[in-house]
Amino acid sequence: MESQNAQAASGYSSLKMQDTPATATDSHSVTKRLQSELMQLMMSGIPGISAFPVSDSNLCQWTGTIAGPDGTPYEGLTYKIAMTFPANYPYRAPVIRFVSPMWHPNVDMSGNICLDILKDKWSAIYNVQTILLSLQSLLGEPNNASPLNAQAADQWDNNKTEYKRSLMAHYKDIEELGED
Amino acid sequence: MKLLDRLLDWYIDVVRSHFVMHALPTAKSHFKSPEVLLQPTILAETMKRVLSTLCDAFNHYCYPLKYIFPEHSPSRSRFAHSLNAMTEIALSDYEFQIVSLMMIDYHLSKCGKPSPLDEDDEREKVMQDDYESQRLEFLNELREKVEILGIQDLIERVVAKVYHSFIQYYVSEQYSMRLEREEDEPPALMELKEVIYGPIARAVKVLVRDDGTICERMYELASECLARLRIGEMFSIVVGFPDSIPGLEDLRSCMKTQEHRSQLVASFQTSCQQRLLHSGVNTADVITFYISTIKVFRLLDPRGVLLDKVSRPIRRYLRERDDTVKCIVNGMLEVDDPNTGDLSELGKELANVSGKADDSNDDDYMDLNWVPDPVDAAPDFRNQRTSDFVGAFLSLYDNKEVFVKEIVVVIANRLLDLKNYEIDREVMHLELLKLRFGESELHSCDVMVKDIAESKRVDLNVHDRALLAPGVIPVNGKLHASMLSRFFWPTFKNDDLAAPAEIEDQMERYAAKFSTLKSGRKLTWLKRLGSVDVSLELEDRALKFCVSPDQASMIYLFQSSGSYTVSDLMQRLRVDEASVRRAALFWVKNGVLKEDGNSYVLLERAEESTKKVLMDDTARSSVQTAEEKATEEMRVYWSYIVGMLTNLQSLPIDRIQSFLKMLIPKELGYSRSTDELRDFLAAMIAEERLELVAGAYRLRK
Repeated sequence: MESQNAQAASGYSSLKMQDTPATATDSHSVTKRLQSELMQLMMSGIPGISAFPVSDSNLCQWTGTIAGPDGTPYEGLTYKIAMTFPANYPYRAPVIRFVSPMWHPNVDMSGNICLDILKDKWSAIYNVQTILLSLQSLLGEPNNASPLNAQAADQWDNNKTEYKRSLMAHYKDIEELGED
Repeated sequence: MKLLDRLLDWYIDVVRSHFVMHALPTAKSHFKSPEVLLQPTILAETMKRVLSTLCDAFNHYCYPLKYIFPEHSPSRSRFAHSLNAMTEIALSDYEFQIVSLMMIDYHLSKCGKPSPLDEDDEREKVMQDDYESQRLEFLNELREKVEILGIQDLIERVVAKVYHSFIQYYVSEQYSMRLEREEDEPPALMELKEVIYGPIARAVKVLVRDDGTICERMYELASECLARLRIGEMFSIVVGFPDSIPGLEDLRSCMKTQEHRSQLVASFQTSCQQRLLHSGVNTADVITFYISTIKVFRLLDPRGVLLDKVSRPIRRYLRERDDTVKCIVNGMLEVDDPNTGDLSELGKELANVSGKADDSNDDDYMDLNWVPDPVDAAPDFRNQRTSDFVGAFLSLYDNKEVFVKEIVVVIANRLLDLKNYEIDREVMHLELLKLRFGESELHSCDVMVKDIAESKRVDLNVHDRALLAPGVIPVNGKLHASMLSRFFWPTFKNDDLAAPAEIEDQMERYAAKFSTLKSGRKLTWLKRLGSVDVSLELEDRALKFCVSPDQASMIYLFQSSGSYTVSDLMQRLRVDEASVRRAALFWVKNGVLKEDGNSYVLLERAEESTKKVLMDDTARSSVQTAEEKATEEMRVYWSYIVGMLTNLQSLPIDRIQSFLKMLIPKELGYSRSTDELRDFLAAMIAEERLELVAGAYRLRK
């Protein structure tokens, strides 16, 4: 048995990004992009992360759900987030915050998140799915070098039992959050 | 004098009552027997007898007057006049008209085209001529009596009715669906003219006073009938094109009025709706029909106004079909696909460069043949001068992008199927396509073709032993690769596949060689693309196949063991179940493997029942794909529903429905009604995946 003509692709090492002006995007292309991202997210069915538009009229407001990764203090807990996409998405990062009260070194008490890819490291190749995955992994691997919640960072480093206790004290089940 | 007048009045009264009491009943008694209406010979005889009876009475009534009034006195004509009026009124009833209608009709029907006879058969010919003279004699006899009775008007009316319906009948009888003609046959209109100006005119003129236009009127009528006939047959003309050109010629020569044109459009559109534009017809057939339509209507109306009108519903329909683009592109590129049928005509037309995009605008001042658009042109009518149907297809959609996408995929597949890097045919196609679509649109195709050309060179270098660094094992000469520039090719499903270890080894060596030739580049294999030549040596037979890498890798596994379960194969090949089944099906069909429950067994010896298995399996596989599609659709909807309920907790059915409608991309399309959705959700509740609380659905924990 001989193999003939197997096809292969030569991977060019440099990934070319088109330099598109951020101003030239209209709301239609945002809607389209978000629609296809939703499709991708729905079809991939990655367990533990999920997001969906809040209403069918405005695709720029999403709500998401993140399950705490196994083997972290967040195991078995689910958190709710709110995502707001700017009109020139994906050239600008979406604004994301935790709706559920959160005890985490990089999240402040009103839910604001300190994550590089949502700020200066944002790139148009990220999408909802990658953001959700990054947030999920952030739960297990906080960046304690620049904490928003210093007390949490301190507990994480020095006293995991105390950390878990504070975490549970703040935690609210999604059911209890109600509509907001 | 006065007395004479009164005498005449009295006599007229007497004659009237006698006529009504005796003459008329006697005459009418001839109609009584029922066989009168069935036998044309008796019919003629009856007619003759009726008229004779009346004539006798007439002569009898006139007889006494001879002695009182001179031959041409006003009183004589007054008497004749009143008698004629009486006769006419008496005979105007239904019965007489029917009998005379049928009688004359019978005689006319004998006038039609003479039945074909041998040239030599003089006797036949003489007999036919004989018949005609007999017929004319009979009609002449009839006319004499009619004149005596003074009922010419009545008979003329009857004859007019008869020849009208007779010509209608004659045309439809002779020419209905006669769309093809032998070479020596004259056109239908010529033939009609001959018959009308010949025997029919001769017979009609006996009974009708000719004002010189009667033949012309009858001919006009025949032409009108033929036009209506052919208009109704337009659909068949298009289907039968080009054999039906004679029928088309008929229509062209007798279509004269504006009304005909609008009738043609309406009737053609109706037959299209009934016979073509429904889901039972293959897209390829619709396209073939449309091509013929374009050709036919171009012949009929070179300005293209009619075409523009009749093709609108077809074009609208084609836009709705989702495999239209695929069919057209396959046709243009002359792909042999049993599913799309033969549309190679498109390819030939594409090659016909002279007919290419002649979209020069209408304001060509140098064009001396310019004429304004006809009055029945639609407001947005655009004149397309050439009969370029490829252009007609390309203008189906607002932009050509849909075609470009499909072309890229087809060309990519064809390039991947190439075995010897021979790109000549694709280059030719590409050049022709560029004439239509423009250089820039097909840029990625250019790159793809160039990739293959480049691959040929690289592949030669890889195999070139002279370039080999000492101590490196050469790559097996039978492994060839095509290097694709990832960004310009359509996206491939880069699914993994565990190729046989020997092949993997060769591939690694090939990749290493490539990296030394092209420094800084790395080869990523698309293991499931390409083709493999396989020779199988079984106990009783040797077989050769050209198969996909999936199929090759699978059969390779059977080299070490005669039987595997499906899950075993999935694990060893690192592919999903559907792929395993598909690849195995190929071998089962070819009688190499046998399905045994949930596993596959190698048939070292061919089995008798191979054929039966083959039949069974094809049937099963097609059913499976239909099911697969439905499940796939449902899987998409369900994942959206799970997504929204995970994040929004609980939702009433209206919100779910509107979310699905808004958010599922158009390509997939969500077309279920609320009731269908309710059924689906109810099924999910039955499976304990959902629950319905206070009118809102939520996921079950």
